[in-house]
Amino acid sequence: MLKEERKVEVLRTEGLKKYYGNNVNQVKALDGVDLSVKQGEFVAIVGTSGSGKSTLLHMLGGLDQPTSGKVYVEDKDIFSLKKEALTVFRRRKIGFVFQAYNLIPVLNVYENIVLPMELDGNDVDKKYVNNVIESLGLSEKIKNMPNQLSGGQQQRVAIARALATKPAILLADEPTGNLDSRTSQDVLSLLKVTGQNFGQTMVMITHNEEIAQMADRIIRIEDGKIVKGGQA
Amino acid sequence: MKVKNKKVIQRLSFRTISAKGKKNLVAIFAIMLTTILFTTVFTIGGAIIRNFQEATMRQVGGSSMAGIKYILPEDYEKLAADPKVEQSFYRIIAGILENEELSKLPTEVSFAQDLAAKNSFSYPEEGRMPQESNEIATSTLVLDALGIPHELGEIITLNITVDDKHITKDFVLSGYWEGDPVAMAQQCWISRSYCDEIAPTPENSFYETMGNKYAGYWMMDFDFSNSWNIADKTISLLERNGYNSNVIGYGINWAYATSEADGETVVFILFLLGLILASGYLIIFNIFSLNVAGEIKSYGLLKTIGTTEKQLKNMVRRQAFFLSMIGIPLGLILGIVVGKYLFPVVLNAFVLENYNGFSVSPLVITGAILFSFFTVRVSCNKACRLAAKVSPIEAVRYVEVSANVQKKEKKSRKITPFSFAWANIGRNPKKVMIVVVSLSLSMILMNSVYGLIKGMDMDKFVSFSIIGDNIVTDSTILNPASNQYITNSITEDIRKEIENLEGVEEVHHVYSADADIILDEVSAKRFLEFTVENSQYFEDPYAEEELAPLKENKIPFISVYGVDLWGTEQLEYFKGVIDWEKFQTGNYCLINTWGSARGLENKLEGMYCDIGENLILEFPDGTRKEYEVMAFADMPYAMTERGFGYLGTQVILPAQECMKYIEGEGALMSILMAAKGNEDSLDKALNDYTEQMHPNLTYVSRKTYEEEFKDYVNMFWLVGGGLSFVLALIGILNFLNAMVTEIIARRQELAMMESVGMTGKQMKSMLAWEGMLYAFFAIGCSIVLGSLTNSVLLKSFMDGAWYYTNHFTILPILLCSPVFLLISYLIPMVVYRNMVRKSVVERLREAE
Repeated sequence: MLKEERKVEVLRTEGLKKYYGNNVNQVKALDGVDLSVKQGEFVAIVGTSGSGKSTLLHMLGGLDQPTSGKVYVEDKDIFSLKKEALTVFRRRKIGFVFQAYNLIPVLNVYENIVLPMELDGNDVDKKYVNNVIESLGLSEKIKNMPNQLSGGQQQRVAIARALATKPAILLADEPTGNLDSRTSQDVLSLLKVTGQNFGQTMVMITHNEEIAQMADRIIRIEDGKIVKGGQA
Repeated sequence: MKVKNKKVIQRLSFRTISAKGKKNLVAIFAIMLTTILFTTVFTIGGAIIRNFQEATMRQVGGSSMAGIKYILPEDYEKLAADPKVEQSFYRIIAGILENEELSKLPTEVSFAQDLAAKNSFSYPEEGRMPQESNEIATSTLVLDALGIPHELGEIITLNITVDDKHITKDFVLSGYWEGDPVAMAQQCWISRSYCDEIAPTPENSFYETMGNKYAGYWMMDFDFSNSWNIADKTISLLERNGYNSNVIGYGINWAYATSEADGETVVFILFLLGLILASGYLIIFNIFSLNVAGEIKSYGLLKTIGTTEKQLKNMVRRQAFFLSMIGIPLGLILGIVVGKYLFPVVLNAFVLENYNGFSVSPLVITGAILFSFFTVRVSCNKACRLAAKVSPIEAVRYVEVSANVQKKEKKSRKITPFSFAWANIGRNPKKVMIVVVSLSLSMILMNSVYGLIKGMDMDKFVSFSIIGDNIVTDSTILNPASNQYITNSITEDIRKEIENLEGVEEVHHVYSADADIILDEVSAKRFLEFTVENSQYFEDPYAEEELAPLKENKIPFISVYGVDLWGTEQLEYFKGVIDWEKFQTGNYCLINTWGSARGLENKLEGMYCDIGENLILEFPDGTRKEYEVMAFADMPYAMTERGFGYLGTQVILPAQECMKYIEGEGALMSILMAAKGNEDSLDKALNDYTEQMHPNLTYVSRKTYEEEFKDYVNMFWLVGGGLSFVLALIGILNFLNAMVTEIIARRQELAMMESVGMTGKQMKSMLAWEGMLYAFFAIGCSIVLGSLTNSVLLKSFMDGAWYYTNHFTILPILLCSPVFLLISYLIPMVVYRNMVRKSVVERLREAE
């Protein structure tokens, strides 16, 4: 327990609200969410469709503006940043893995993985990247184009890309939503193991209870509110 | 099995198209532009052809399609009753007018039915056709020549020659009309009763007697139901009615044989049609393909639920049809407006002397509609196939871009906005190619127009038609329609008067006489062989009969020119030199071969005689004289009778020598040089002089030709520039559409890139590069193809034009490049700005 306490808090939200529409038609996608995630944690956010979990993830990644409330990543209030600065912050600190449409079709596997770093104009930490590639079992495929890969392989490339920048936090939105159950298990195990190896903080949203069980902690969300597991 | 599903398909197509809203505008606009181009080209083409036709009809002197000559009344009845003959009328020949005042104005005397008179543009505008024996109706030109005022009831004394009889009689003017100077002959109508009196119907057929008696024979003019292939129809009409078409004289109105008569215009119009078709195809094809590709999922869905290939094809076709229903009428209206209000101004000034109003002929409208519709139909075929062939499963997964991405492995490279853009461009090379070609067309055309204009040399153009500042000559020389050239109108008195006109600095006279060259047997044989061997250099393939005089050791009907010292200095010598002192003695001659004009430069020398040899000329009065050949030289066209002469041979003598053989010692022309600054006043003086003092003379001035040249150039600018502009519009529209659909199709991918950290600046830079790559390709393509058109196509097309020198240029392309680059930079920026109005999340969501 004490060991846990010492861990640094990487992600924190305060009274996060996202309302759509107004008056009668108002939809409260998020209605006052407070949560915190610590360094190296693997958190799953579970909820039914329409519960607000995707909206939450988008807020956490700075893709969407909240109606009110704050998101801190490594103690930085991300919505205090200007749009352009937020984008830069995102590519340095946050890795995304989406359900689909993850890879750029005109870039090969390696180029896809190092894309965020190259966009940043940084030299690529080749050793680290190769390490990531190897642990995700992609060494043979780095020159392939995305359309030569299976769905599972594509998702592994997306994970590699998210990890390659050593982000503060990796956000995964139904990462196995488009995969069959066998591949889902494989990809997720890899995600978990690699994440642990690299000490990566990860937040994943899913509606699949079975998959959620692989996480260290489960946050349950219903009607825009956390009903269980908000704080570590 | 027939299923009633038309309604469903109709509804589906309609709904699909309504759902697209603004996107349809691009397609409608493209169809509209294409239709505008077609309409204007058809309008102008139609006007040019019609004008040409009218001019030809005026020259021919009739608007009927064909005529049969010298027949008897019973023949007329028989032929007129033929079911293929739509309408017919006749004239009865009596004779010709022999009044001295009419020596330059051939005038026929005949009886005509009212319709026949109208048909030959000779129906009284004032008064009526003659009815009494002593009445006539004729043209104002005849009246003017005879010095009779334009008043009905005037008494006119006419000398009529009826075959070999001469009649002199007083007539009363019953009607007159505005005469047309272009017509080959003027008409003088007499009444039927008088016609029967002086020219009774002959007993025998003209073709049996084959004499030279024409009086009393009937001339039949008639029309078929349409003007297609009149010659063959006329022959079969004759044969069908038992006449030998080889014997009976018949004539086809050449006004109806436009394609033969004006091949160059037709080729030009075909080229324009092809160009418009191509550019229309490029854009409409692209729009439909991209549209269908964008909606491929819904087509896949329709297929999943059981829509057949045929129905899907029909759906796309119906959409195209629907868009055409809006685009084509709009284009037609705009095209007609352009044709009606804009082009008459242009055409009146430049191309057609009397573009007498624009008429919206059904042919123009049908042509424009058919061509536009054909373009749309052809262009959407690919899209139809694409929609029809979609596999339901794939369609759901279909991403337009990934379908064509290279499958091979690729080496990793550093990612920059440029390399990204380069890779993106490579996704759909076909689309890129189409847009690039579409953008290039206008630049290539503009470049060619500029090259064409640059190559036209005003000095060359003008010096072909004129030498000096002004030329005064007989009006028959410059009238292309005249059939008799009067080459001795400038009498000594006139020469003096011209020399004394105000503003004249120098005057030189050119004389022209007729003669035959008498050859010895050897030379005659040499020339005959030469002519046969080199027949391609001569105007017509010479028939036996034309070469026959050569066998009698004669070159008949050649022109002999007489020039002064100045004149000899204007010649271009290519063999031998002139010694003026010796030449002046009158014992020497120069030979004008027209060699350079016909590409025969060094071949003609010595074809029938050589330098130092003697040439025998026989003049009309029977005089024979021997001249020693001094040199071979080309005479400027402007100094001649404007004809190449028999077999292209002409002889040049000193003026004094030549004059001896000319009746009245009149000169062919006077070439005037104005004193500096007096060009305009001399022009005015000549105008007054030729109009008031000697109406039979006419003059031309350098200024007129210079202006004509400028008008000619302006016309190219206007038509070429206008067309280039519309093509550029089409190209840019095509590019815009391609860019918009491209960015829309990739919006999720772009959103995803933004989510992994691509900043707006980086994305804009990438998209800007993508746009500019199109422009770079288009510029490169234009430079390559533009150079080719300029140095190959244009060169060969304009090869025959004496005033054209090919210049290589790509200047217009280079000048247009920055504009295209700017546009190609701005369009992606605007589209991007539109896209980022939606948040990343919204764009990401659209994927699911």
